Parts: sequence; C-alpha cells; structure tokens
Amino acid sequence: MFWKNLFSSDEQPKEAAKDSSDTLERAKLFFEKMEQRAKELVAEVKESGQLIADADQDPYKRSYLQFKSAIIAQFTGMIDKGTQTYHSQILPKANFATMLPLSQLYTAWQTNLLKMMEDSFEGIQERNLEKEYQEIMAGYNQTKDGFQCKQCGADLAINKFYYTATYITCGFCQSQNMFDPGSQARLVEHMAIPLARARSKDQYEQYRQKKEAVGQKAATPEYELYAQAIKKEMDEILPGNEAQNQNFYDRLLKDFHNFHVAW
Amino acid sequence: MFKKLFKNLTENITDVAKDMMAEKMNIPSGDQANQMESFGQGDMQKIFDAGAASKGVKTPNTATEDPNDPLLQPVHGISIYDYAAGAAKIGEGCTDDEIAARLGVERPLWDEAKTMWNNRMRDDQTFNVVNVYAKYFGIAKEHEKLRDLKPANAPQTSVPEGQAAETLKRLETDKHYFFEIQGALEAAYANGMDGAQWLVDELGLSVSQVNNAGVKYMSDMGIMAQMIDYQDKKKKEYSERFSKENGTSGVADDIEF
Amino acid sequence: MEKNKPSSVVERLKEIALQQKREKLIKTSADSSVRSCTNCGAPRGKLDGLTKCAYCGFEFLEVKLTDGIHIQKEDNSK
Repeated sequence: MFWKNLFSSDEQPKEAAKDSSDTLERAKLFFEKMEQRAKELVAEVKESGQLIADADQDPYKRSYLQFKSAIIAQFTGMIDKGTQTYHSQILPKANFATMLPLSQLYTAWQTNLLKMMEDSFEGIQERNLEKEYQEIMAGYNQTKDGFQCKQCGADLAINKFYYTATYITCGFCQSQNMFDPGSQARLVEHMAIPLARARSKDQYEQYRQKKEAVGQKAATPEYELYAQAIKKEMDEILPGNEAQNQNFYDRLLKDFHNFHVAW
Repeated sequence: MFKKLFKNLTENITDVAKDMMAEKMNIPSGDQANQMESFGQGDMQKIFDAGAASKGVKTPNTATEDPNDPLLQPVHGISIYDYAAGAAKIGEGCTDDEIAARLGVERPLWDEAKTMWNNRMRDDQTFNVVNVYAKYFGIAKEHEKLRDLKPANAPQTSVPEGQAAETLKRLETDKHYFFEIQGALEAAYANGMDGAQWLVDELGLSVSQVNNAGVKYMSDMGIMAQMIDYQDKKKKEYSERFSKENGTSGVADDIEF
Repeated sequence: MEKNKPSSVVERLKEIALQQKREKLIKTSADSSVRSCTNCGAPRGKLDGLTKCAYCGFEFLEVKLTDGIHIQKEDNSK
C-alpha cells in the first residue's frame, strides 16, 4: 500500500507527510498509554504479590500461582494487543520516513513490557522453603521418639528422617514394624531440589559471574562446584538417597554440556 | 513434558529444515533422503523424531523397551505400567493406600517405587523412560489390577457420573473437543482461576483424566501443530466468557490507537 | 473504564485466588503398625525377610523386592 503512495503521480506530498507524521505521533501516544497502564499494573502487583504469597496456605501455593498466571496473561495480552495494532493499523500507514522510527518505537516498547513483567515479581518470595522445611523437621523430630513396637511394646528407634513409609526393626523383639512418616514429611521429597538450589545460592552466583566474564564453557569448573553443592544439600535433606542424588548430579552435568543453559 | 522436549529441540529442527533447503539441489543420501521426504510430506512427527535422535534423545515414537534396560526394571515388583496407572488413579482421587492395596503391595514398597520411578525419569537424559511412562499412562484404563479402582473420596462435583463418563468418551474420540478443553484450561488460568478445579466443577473430571484421554494427540507433533490455531481460537472464546464472569478483562482493553 | 483499572483487576484476581475452593488435602500424622501372619498369627521378624511367614510360608508379599532406597534385595525371605 505505501509503495503506491510513494510512486503514484497523483500523490499530494504535503498531505502524505502530514498523514505519516500523524501516524508517528499517534503511535507514540498509543504506546505511551499502553506503557503507563503496564506501569500501574506493576505497581499493583508489587503491592499485593507478597501478601498473596504469604496468605496462600496451600502447600503447593496454587492460589499464588493462579494469581501469577493471570498477571502474566495480562502482560502478554498487552503485548499481543500492541503487536496486532502495530501490524494491522500502524505499519500500513508508514512510509520511508516513518518506517524505522515506528519499528524502533514498537521494539523498544515490547522489550520494555517484557522487562516490566519480570520486574513485577522481582523480590517476591513465593515460598520460604527453609522455614517450611524446618517446621516439618521440627514436627517430625518431636513425634518420632514416641512410637512403640506394636508387637512387644518396646520403644521403637527411629534414627533418621524417612520421607517414605518404611520398615523399622524393633531392637527388642526383631519384629518388622511399618512406619509411616505422615503427609507433612512426605512433602520434603518435593522440596528437596528447590531447597538445595536455594542453599547453594553462593556457588550459583560465583558460576554466574564467571560465565558472564568468560562464557559458559570456561565457567564449567564453577558450575561443577554449584552442582556438587546441590548434591551435598540433597544428601542432607533426603538421607538414604545418595545414589539417586548422584544420578541427578550426573544429569545436571550432562545437560550443562549438551544444551544451552538459559540461566 | 512434551513442551519441554520441544523447547530444547526446536533449534535443532529449524537447523535440519534450513540444511535441507540449502542442500536441495544436491543429491541427498541415506538419512537426509528420509528427512527430505518426511519434510515434503509435512510429517512433523518424523522430523521431530529425526531431530531428537540426532541429539541422542527419544520421543514417544522412538522410545524403546529393552527387557534388559536397568532403568526399566520393576522396583519391588512394581512395573512402570503399575506406576503410570497408579499415577492416573491418583489423578482421579484415589489414595496411595488404595492403590498399594489393589496392587497387592504394602505402602513402603509403593512409596519407594514411586520415588525411584520418578527419579529414573528425572535423571534419564535420553528421555526414554519418560516416553515409555507416557505410553503406559495413556493406556492406564487397560491396567488389569487398577482399571476398576474407584476412589473412596472422589473430588466433589455436582456433575452426574454418567455425564462425566460421556464427556470423557468425547475427549478421547473428538480431537477438536479435546483441544477446545485445552484452550479452556489456558483461558481459566489466564483469568486467575484454578483450571484444574474448573474441570472438576464444569466437567466432573480431573486434569489427569482429561490429559490421559488425549495422550495420543499430545504425542503427535503433527496433530499438535495442526490444532494449535483451533486451540487458540477456543482459548479466546473461553477467555471472553471467564473475563466477563470474573471481572478480569485486560487492563489495557480501553486503549485505542 | 473503571473496571479495567489495574487496581480493580488485581483486587479481583487476589479475591479469586484467596477464596479459591479446592479439594481438601488429607493431612495424616506419623503412625506405625505391625502385620502378623493371617494364617498362623506369627509376627514378621527381620531375619526372616519381609515376603514370607517363617513359620507357615504364607506370602505377605507376592512380589520380589529389589534394591530400593531403604528396602533391599536381602529383605526377600529365603
């Protein structure tokens, strides 16, 4: 369409110029309004986000996550709208002079919106894994010494942390008792990896800095130290799982070497 | 899980496509010939399988069940099929105790099996175990011991059981309806709802049952690519409905160019 | 439009999230139990393994135990 405008001998250059500068102005106004609205959204999320995360009593934080999904959808909805408008209403009105500024305007706006989306959740702690873990362990340690062998009545020695049901041998009569650690203890299995990662933040930070300085490949030793730290924490959180944790460690390293690690 | 696979491998598939286009004037040989033929026939799944294989990774189509594979051996007699069918039943509201009892094992065995199967899938960088798991998850309702197991405490819903069963059948046989519900689920989360709960309230089904019904669609890249626009269209429709019901329309809806 | 304002949408989303009804997650406390042979009443001793009754051969478990996390192959009854 704009080629026709450019080469047609019927063209009124002055009108065309006015029309296109109008377009640029209108586009600037449009993207400014969109950005302002996004800023307001960021402010609201920053105010409410942590409150919602803290108020969510669900062990899987599903209420907070459904809130977060909706906010992300709000941002992606705005980006979609801006993109649609840019392609279907703004670009068709562009000419040689306005093409580049409009493209730059749109790209800058889109990049900014993505940054704002990330920023709105910055600093919000979805779960305090360490606190949850310590509470579960405190509860476990409080109750584990209160069991008796169901065969002979002697005290049943539960000497470590079990996150699965297991068999405990009575030290007195040798009977196999089945011990069920309860639903809270079972949650620890699913917390282990994120908790181990959270505890290995320092090693991760060292890896990240080295990677920024010299690239991912040269930062391999730092990454290995980070993976080893995770493994060590997992061994502590899930005793008895050492062989499995080793497999997890091996997988981390294989993925590191094979795929581009986005973070 | 397939989205994750796809995410890691899309780069490679694009490279494969680019290479094929660049070399189309040369006479292809062997693998390349197969790939070009697949590409020409629009068989996305074959291209995906080829791209995956070049990275040493399995897909639902190329997963193997070697009887000597240590990663596929039963754990305390609990096979990957037992585990997958059990997982499907948990999705329907059955408890671990109910499943262990039905499988004829004690709870410690079932607990350890769950952990070990889960870890095997997690740590297998070829994705073979998870693809074998997906296959058995898809045929959970044929599992001899577990297929008739009904939860003592099924998720509460006002949808009559007969109606829910009809809907399940429809999801299995009507491709468009399955992807419509996937779109509805996306729309629910986009509007701040708990999509899984919406499924229970609206259809009388769990996420596990719904996804189980569509495993054959979700394991085929061609079908997923074919239905992506339809799913998107349905997502928009449901989103309009949900945003009206909940007062959660877009914050910038009123801004015009 | 008032109802589109970020503050009202976020308020609505917060309301929906925190009032979300879900199936109650069953919380169970730690517990222990013991299983005696349904055939002869004998208890299950550590040295006899987990799978068979040492006195009458009754099968507690019909499966073969493998090397798991805490349960090992050695826990199969002879």
